[in-house]
Amino acid sequence: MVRRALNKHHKRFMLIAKAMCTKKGVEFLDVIEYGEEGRTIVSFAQKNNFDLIVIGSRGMGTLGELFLGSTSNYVVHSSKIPVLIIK
Amino acid sequence: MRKSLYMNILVPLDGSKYSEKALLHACDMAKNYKSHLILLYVVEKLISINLLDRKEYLKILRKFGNNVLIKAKKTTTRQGMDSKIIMKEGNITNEIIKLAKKEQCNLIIVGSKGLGATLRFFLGSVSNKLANNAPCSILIVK
Repeated sequence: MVRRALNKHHKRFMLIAKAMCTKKGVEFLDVIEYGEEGRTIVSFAQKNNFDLIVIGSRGMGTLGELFLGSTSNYVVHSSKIPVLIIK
Repeated sequence: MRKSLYMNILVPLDGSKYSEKALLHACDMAKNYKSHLILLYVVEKLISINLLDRKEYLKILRKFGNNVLIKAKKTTTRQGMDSKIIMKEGNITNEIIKLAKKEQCNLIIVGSKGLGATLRFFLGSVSNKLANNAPCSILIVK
């Protein structure tokens, strides 16, 4: 049940992202992975030899505007490739 | 020419090989975005430095900072980029954030760790503080 709702949510989000990319004329490859966010992002980036990770400084959970989100923090600390944090 | 997303790029340097790598990334980005580069060296002023040696110590640090900045400037000119060099004194992170606000920088590029880090797998203290407190986007080069 939860999974189906999440599925719907991220499918819609991917569509928005895809529309934005095509508007700017950028090729877009969408992949949906399951698992713990931070670890999945880092291992996916490493497995596929990416050169850069671009990530927002805050995610869905807004506790405070001042600090980095937990996922961003994890990615920044443990990835072996450059990370761009957008504020 | 379209207006660039990153008009001013701030590159804090400390003379370590990570900061050199960050500088190369910065040159590349500045070329693509046609943005201004600002190179910064901060002389750290700790209270814990021995009072008697303080002057001498700061003098050495300033000299070192100057060398780092000149070397970095040379690197950027070799890449065909113009850059502005600034030297500040005080707490490293605070000075970087202050300058980023003052110069309205859109991007800070730092190495993942500096001279102080002995641990291989973790972020340096300055990079970590910057990631948490920076007013603008930040690129951490590994």
